Amino acid sequence: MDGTRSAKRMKRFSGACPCPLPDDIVDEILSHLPIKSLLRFRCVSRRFHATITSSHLFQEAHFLQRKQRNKHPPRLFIRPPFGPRQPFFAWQWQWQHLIPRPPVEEIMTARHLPHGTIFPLASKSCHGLVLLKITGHHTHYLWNPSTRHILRLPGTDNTPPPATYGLGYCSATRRHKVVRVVGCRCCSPATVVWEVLALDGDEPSPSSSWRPPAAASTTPPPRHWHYSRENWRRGAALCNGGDLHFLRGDGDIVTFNVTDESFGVSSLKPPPELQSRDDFELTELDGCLCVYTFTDVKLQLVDEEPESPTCEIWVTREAAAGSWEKLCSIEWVSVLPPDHSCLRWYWIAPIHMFSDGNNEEKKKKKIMFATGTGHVLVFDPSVGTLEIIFSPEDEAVGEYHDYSNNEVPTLGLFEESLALVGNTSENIVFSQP
Amino acid sequence: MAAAAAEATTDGGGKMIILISADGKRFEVTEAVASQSQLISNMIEDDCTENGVRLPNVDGDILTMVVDYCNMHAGDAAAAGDTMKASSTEEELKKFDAELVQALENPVLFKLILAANFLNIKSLLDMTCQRVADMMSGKTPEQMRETFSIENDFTPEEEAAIRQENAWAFDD
Repeated sequence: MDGTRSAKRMKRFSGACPCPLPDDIVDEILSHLPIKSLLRFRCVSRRFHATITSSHLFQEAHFLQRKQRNKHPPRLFIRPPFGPRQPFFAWQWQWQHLIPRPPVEEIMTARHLPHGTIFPLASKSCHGLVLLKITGHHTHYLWNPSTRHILRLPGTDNTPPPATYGLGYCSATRRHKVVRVVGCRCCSPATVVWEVLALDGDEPSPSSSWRPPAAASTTPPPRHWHYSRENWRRGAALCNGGDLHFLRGDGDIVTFNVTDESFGVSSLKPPPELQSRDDFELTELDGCLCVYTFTDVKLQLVDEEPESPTCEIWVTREAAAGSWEKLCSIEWVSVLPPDHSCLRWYWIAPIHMFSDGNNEEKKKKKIMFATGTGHVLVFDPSVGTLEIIFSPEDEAVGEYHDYSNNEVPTLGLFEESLALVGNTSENIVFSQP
Repeated sequence: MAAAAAEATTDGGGKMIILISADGKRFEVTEAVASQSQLISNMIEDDCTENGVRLPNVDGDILTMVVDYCNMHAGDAAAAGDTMKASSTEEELKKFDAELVQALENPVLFKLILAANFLNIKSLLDMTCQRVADMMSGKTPEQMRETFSIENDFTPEEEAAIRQENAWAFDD
């Protein structure tokens, strides 16, 4: 710091009355503020800047405070499936009918996104961050929908082997970690390599690189990784608490602990009823690991004789014990409003389970579904009704062209977080990867 | 007299405690009401509330609000097991909280925050901090500095660079 600047600062300091509140109380107040305000207040003073940008303790306190406040209703990020140049929008559902319906907000314009059809690998943010991927490319991005920062992950080349990615959060170090399993498709059964990319939020550096899991030597990873057909649904691991659950091609669930980077003692089997099937996926509802069956609703509803597509949801309270409980079974034809039966959803996935305050009983909780067309539905099991709470056309977030891109997920839930994804200016890639 | 009052019991049988503000105002409350303050709760455990609890950094006006708040919320913990009762009063409590802080000017609100922090009443601290945050959320950095008497220790160039990093946050 040069002398002139210090002198200038000294001069400006003189005559200022002291802050009426001690720093820890000011920080307490800051932790109640939305992200947009905090990003603005980074330029209030050096102390504010340091607290908001790099104090993991503050970021954690803020995350928990905002999570508590935003529990109901959840915030959604949505990219309408109307072509490759669509922006991302954010929207918050108000289930209390008296509160006015908030408008959608554009959070990422096409200009701020890499070229190509970019889509989220998971329907839920992991501690505020979302993994994104571009169809047809093996380039992955880390995105914070709240701060609107995006980072291209290192270590991708033109001809990468198939990889399954997972994004987890280590609460001990307050850092995110990306885990991937890279396999050789030619070998059968495939030989795989597990790799970890730890994100250092303090000083995001381009030198961060993939390394073997820390505990790899003590707990050998599963030696073989069975790949099934190319399928986005198996493109990402599920983040649940401090664990990442990878759904293997043979249907077993392999668990990786994000903190100590060790593997579960044995893989978890899906419910017996599903073990002979390959049309199920992982999700998290109400904090618990779930599997659900997915159906290609488009074909079956448009065609004359539907084969009655059904969504079964199974939940496990104690993943280690491997016991599953059937939460519900929804026959779409019987709950669809007649005028919406031609909706071409392509896929339907449960993303959230909640109680509207009247009924805390597990089996009576409402379930929110995301669809390939960008519609959001809420199923109420106590009365067996389905309500469409969001449709892209109604919200005027895009013009209808076709649903050519609706095979990839376009929406998900996110939590407000200040977590850094990396150096914003250098690492953003706006050009063709 | 304070000692005598401190020994008194209410109809409900709860022991009474005297709180004494910085300007000497005295407030008689039940143990259940007072122990929402973690500070006083610890003092009750340590048996040192006999002669009243002196709070040298809380003014009478502020303590009046704190006692009102604690009286109103005293049922909270007791009703927690009874969901029906809790939900029926939740709206009232929200309304009460909103009215308590709504009309307060910043200097008074800040004093209330300091009192909640000193007395260690987490729900009151959360509620009052949320109130200040709600008032500040739409403000500019300049207004923020003014409210908290914070000196801008950035050079104009540095400030411009930080603004540029998240330009969208400065849009209305």
